[in-house]
Amino acid sequence: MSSKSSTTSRSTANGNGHGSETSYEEPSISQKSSQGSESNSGAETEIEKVEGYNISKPWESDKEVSNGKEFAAFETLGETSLEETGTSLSGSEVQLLDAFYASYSELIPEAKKQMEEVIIGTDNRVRINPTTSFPWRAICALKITAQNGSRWIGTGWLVSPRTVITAGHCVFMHDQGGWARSIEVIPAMNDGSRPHGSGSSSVLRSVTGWTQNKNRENDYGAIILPANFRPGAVTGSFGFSVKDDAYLKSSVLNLSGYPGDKGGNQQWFMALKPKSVSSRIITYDIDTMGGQSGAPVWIKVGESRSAVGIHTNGHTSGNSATRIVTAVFNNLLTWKNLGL
Amino acid sequence: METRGSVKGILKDESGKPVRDAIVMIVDGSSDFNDMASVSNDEGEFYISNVVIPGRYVLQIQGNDQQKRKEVNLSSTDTVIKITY
Repeated sequence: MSSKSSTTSRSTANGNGHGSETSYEEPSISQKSSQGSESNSGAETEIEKVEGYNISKPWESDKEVSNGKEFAAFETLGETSLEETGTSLSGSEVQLLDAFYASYSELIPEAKKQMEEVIIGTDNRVRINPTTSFPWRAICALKITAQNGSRWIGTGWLVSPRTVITAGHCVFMHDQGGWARSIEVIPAMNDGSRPHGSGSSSVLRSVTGWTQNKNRENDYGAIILPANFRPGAVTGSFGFSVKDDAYLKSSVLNLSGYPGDKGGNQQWFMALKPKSVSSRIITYDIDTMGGQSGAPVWIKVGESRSAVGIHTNGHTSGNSATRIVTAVFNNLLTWKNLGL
Repeated sequence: METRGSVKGILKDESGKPVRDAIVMIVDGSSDFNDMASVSNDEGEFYISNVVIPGRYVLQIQGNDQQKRKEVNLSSTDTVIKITY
């Protein structure tokens, strides 16, 4: 099975007034027409204005945007922690698979070594069945209807009762009319079984780095579910955190989602250490297929699970996730609070 | 600078009838691609979204309890891929 993979973001909402409350300081930019040997000492840089190149202010690429729809006004909490805990609710239902691949699996080095040695060229995914225990039940199949009516499948994960985190390209598709018309969210879907029901929403969030600039590094977004559908209150929810390079490189990453080659209605899981880590992308050889966009990439320490990435891309050189860095974390926290 | 775009495809069976509700996804390509999958409509239409063009991609089509792989060379967004499934 092929391993598939692979840029900056500003948080954008679909126009419902939940825009970023952060003030972005405009750096002073000196614009001089130098025709001689003018000294560049101390000069500040700016971006050339090039037609078709829209990233005029990279520091704004994580500015939130929405599709202008909302269910109700919510007050954003003023939390600033870079480790946001999830809720597993029933800890006794923790699955062994996930535990096996826990971040501290160096305690079982032989098992981990075997996993790494058989990954290349083979499909090492395993089916999650049943999906009724945590964390699997907090992972959702997505049935997406784009603005132009085309249909797609993807994956998302609950971070609060009504907030589902996913890839930016699952909520905003540049070449399919922009913001999705609607997305059906089915937590813990398992073939014909929908143990926590399902709900549709068109209240979407992403960032300008994705919606305006199509920047791969800013490929993340969120779905806010209707007030009468609160699956996360029952399933529990993922935490998320910002981790440094060394920590990520030494951790086993867990990834579970709804791949299209299995019909899009079954949850499949795999775990492996990352192949590489860059400032905004995590690359790995975890096998994935179309339909797993938006899946959580998480680490597990004890009974604590924390997402560190959002799966987005495939490529034979390595599949990859948008890394949760501080700017991403802050947006996820804002969106989480919208769905409390 | 790479150019990304969307390409439309049409899926038909051997009798020429449109194949609906098939899942179409990229499994290999000359460039990286979004890991989502398209679902064909009543006319058998599907899309490959946000891919680098020109480029070579291998598609996997899943539906009616069978699967098929097809390599496609995308030269422009005006290309319409026709696949017999």
